[in-house]
Amino acid sequence: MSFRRRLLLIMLAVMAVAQLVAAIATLGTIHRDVMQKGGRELEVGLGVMRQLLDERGKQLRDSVGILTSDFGFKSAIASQDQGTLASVLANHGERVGADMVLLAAPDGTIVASSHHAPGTPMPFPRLWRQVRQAGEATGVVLQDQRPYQFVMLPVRAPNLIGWVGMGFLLDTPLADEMARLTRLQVSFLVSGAEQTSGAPGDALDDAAGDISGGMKGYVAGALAQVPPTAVSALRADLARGEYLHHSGVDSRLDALVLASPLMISKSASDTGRGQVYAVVEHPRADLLAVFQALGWRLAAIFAVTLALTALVAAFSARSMSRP
Amino acid sequence: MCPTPSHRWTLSAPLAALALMLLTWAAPAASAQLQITDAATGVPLSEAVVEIYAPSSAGATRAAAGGYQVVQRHATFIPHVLLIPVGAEVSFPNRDTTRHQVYSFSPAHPFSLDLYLQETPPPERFDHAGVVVLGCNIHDAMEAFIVVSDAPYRTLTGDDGRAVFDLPPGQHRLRVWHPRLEDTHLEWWEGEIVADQSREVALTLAASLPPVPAPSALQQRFQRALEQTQAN
Repeated sequence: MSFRRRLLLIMLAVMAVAQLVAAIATLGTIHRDVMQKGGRELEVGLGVMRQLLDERGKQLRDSVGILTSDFGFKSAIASQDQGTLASVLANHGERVGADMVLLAAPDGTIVASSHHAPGTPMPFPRLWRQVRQAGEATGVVLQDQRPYQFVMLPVRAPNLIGWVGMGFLLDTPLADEMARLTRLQVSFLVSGAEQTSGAPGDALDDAAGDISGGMKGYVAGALAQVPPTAVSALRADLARGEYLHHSGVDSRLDALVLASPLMISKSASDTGRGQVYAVVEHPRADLLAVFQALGWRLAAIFAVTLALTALVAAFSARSMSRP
Repeated sequence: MCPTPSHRWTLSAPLAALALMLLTWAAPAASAQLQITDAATGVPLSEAVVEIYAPSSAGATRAAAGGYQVVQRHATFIPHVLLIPVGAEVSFPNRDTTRHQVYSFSPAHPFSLDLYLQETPPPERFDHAGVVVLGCNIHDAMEAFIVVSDAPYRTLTGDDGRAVFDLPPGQHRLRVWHPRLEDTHLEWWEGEIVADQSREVALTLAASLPPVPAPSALQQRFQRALEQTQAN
C-alpha cells in the first residue's frame, strides 16, 4: 500500500469517526430536546385544558345560578309535588343542556333526580362536603361510571329550600373542542370505577377485567379510537401513578402521554369510587418528524464532507508524497 | 312540637290556691333574665326571638291587635324581623319608587302579593305559628322574617341581646330563634328556663350561605339613571 493511499485512508477514518461521534451526540441531544419540548407542550396543554374546564365550570355555575334564581322554578320547587318537581327539573335542565339534574332537601336527601331514587342520601360525598363549607360547589363526579362536571347551588326563597345539582357529561365533543384549542390529543378516562368487589387501585385486576369485558370503562375523545387493550394498559399505568407527574412514552399508544386526575381531595373513603383522568397525548411520529428530517440532513452532510475530505486528502497526499 | 295551651291551674282546694297566690305576691320579683349571645364571639345578639311556654298570667306578653307593618324602603324590608301573635294582620306598604312583590314559601303561611307601588294590598292574616320568610321576586337581596308566635311570653331582643320576663313559678319550655341560626331559617334552639333564673343562651350561628349582596354596582347605576330621568 502506498503512503498516499495509507494517508488517505487514515484521514478518512479519523474524519468518519469524528463525524459519527458528532452526529450521535447531536442526534442524542436533539432527541432529548425534542422529547423535553414535547413534554413541556403536554404540560402546557394539560394546564390549558384544566383552565378551560375551570372556565366551563364557572360558566355552567352561572347558567345554573340563573335557573335557580328563576321565580317560577322556586315556586315549583316549593310546591313539593313530585310530578311538578320532575317536570320543572327536566325543563330547566334542558335549558342549560344538562345531562343529569337533581334536587336535594336542605339536609342533602334526594327529593327528585334524573339518576337517583327519592329519599336516598346525597350521592357525591366530596362535593357535598364542599357545598356545606362554601355554600356551593363545582367539580367532577362519577355517576354510573360516567364522569360529569357537576354544579350544586342553593335554591333560596330567600331562605334555603333545597339544593339543585346539574351534571354535564365529559364527552367526546368536549374533548375534541379542547383538542382543537390545545393542538394535542385529548381524552377523558374513567379508571377503577367498575370494580364492585373492592380492591381499589388493583391494577392487574382492573386490566384483566377490561380485556375480558371489552369496552368496559368510560373513554371519551382521542383514546376512544384506540384498541381497548391499549386503554386498559394505560389505566393500569395510571393506577400505578405513572404519567401523572412527568410525561412518559407509552409504547402501545406510541405517544408521549401526560395525565391529571380531575376529582379533587382523594380521601381514604373515596378511593374505591374510581377516578377521572384528563389525558393528553403527543404522537411520537409527530414529535420525531423533525428529528428524522434532521437525521437525514446530517447523513447528507456526512456524505458530502466525507467526499470532500477524500478529495482534499487525495490532493494534499499527492503534493506531500512528492519530494 | 306545639305546647299545650290548656295547661292551666288545676288546684281545686281554694286554700291551696290562696296560699300559692300569697306566695307569688310575696316574691313578685320572680323575673327571668335571658342574655342571648353568639357562641363563637360572645357578642350579644339582636333580632333574636325568645318564646317561653308558661301558663299565661299577669306578666304575659300583651299583643297589639293590629297595626303591624313591614315597609319596603330602599329595596329593604323594615323591620328585618317582626314578631306577631297568631291571628295578627300585617300590611306591606311600599315606600319606594320601584314596584315590589312580596312572597313567602314558608309552610306556616305561603302567600304572594303581585307587584305593586302605592296601592298597598289588603293586610295578610297569619293564622299559624311559625317563621314566615319574606322575599321579593325581583330583588333577590330583599329578605325579612315574620315570626308568628303562639307563646304566652315572647320578645324580640334589641342590641343588648337581653330579654326579661315575669314568669309564673316553675320550669318552662324556652325556644330561641335567630335569622343566622341556620340556612332554612325555620328551626329553633330549644331549652328550659326556671321562673327566677338568669341565664345566658349562647347560639351557634350555623347559617353558612353568604348573604345576597346589597344593591350591586349595576343596580346603583340603574337607580341613578332613574333619578336623572325623573329630575328632567
